[in-house]
Amino acid sequence: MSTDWAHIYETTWDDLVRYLDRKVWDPERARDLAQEAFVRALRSAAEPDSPRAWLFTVAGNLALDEARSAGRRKRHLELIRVEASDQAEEPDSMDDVEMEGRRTAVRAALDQLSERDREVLLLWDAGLSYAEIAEKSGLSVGAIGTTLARARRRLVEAHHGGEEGAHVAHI
Amino acid sequence: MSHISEGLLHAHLDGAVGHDRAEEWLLAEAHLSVCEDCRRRLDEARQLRDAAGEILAVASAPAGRRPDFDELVAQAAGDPKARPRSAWWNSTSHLAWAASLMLAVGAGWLGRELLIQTGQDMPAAVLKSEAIPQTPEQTAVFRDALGPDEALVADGRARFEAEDLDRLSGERAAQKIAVPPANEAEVVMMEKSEGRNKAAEQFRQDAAPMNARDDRLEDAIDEPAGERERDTLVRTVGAIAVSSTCYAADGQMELQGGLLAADQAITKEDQKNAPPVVPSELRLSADGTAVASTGGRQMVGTWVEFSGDSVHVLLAGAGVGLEMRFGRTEGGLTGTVARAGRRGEGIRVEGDALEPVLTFWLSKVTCDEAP
Repeated sequence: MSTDWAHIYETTWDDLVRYLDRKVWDPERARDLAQEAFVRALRSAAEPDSPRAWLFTVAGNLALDEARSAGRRKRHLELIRVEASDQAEEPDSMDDVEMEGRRTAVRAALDQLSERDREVLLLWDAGLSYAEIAEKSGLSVGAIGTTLARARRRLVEAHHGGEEGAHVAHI
Repeated sequence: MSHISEGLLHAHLDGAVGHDRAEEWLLAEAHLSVCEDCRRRLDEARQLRDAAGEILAVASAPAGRRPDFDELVAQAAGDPKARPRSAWWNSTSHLAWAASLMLAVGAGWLGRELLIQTGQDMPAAVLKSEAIPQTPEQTAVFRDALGPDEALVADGRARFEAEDLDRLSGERAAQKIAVPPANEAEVVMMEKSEGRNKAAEQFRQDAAPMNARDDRLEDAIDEPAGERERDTLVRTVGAIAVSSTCYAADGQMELQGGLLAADQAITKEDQKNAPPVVPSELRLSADGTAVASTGGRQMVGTWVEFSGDSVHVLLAGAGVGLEMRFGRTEGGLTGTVARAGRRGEGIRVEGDALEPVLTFWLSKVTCDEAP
């Protein structure tokens, strides 16, 4: 039976964008990459046992490539942003600034995790099952709970520590 | 029983204790009923799970408009008009993108794209590599870099026999390499039918990030080809791009390599020892000359031991000596940097030590004359 990508698209789009956003920290690029991942899925004749795990693997690879090329493109993007800011109608609202600050704090906390712990946590948060996470990460299903427990603890501790640090800095 | 593992507590809270662990959880429940400590740990695990979820939720940007599924289907079918462009791509002309690639010296994959998009602008010297002799200076650089034991370099000539090319052509035909698969699906089928080995799978995984640019490459190819491109057959097949229908014993063969996983396993020490010079184009002439282009730079050398399965290339330029081997794998044609060194420094890393560091894949094979 062929994979019902239309259904997966309906049910997984938001989760995939969220997952990718936490990889590239750019919602617009995350949407582009999610779209690209689905296009690849549609082009491929692969019939993976776990289509969502397969999709997230493709998306993860795209994000990895994005990270690698980010440095190369940075200068160019900055030029574009300068042009774009010339045309900007309004400066960022306080809400935007606050949101960006929160995202920065979460990103810093996630950076404290090991790569594997972070990946498992983000996949779980994106709605993948333990079996799907195991499929993608190469871990055994039995190890996912342990990994998630460790990842959650470190995230909470790192985020808490970061907030305390921020408060100290404000004093 | 002993106390319940934290992993099982989290799996239970996540609703992930399946049938295969049902018995384990039954025992755990019995234990919970008598163990105050584990009940407290279950509560703590729940709080931890909720707290982590809240932190991540804070960072969630809106998923935004979901493109129409039919749009993606059309895009997947290869209709370029159906392809919604991302913001930065919209803002960038193809020319500007190509120009920005000029900065990426040593990035072979990017170099490939650059060549195809701006092929007519390549330096004439690269296109006519037979005219480039290997100067004594370059020979010296290479010898210094790779060591005095390299007799092949001292010869300054390739050990080339015309029948090697004939054999290559025959073997490729026999192995159906000469007829490139039309799409990724066929490659997948091919891999399945031939049986995957770990190396091929790893190659595919490693190369997967590069798929991101296949579309742009295809865009470029779709454009009217210049005279030089007429006999050039290019296929991008997922991560693998292999092509050629012509091998002429007295013609040229042009191999273009894309960089695969450049930052894979490169330590600072490796970077110091291994110059990050990776050809974006490698042109091998029948007289044994090899010319590699990396961005605006060139390295000239010789190629030796050309067989149906591999080609061994020695290059020198800009104070750097480089030894590479290209061979065929199930994943396509790949190459590795066997050795590299800077002038006067000799070889810092011996033999196979560098092989996992820089890996190429050959994306395009052309020749000037059809057989």
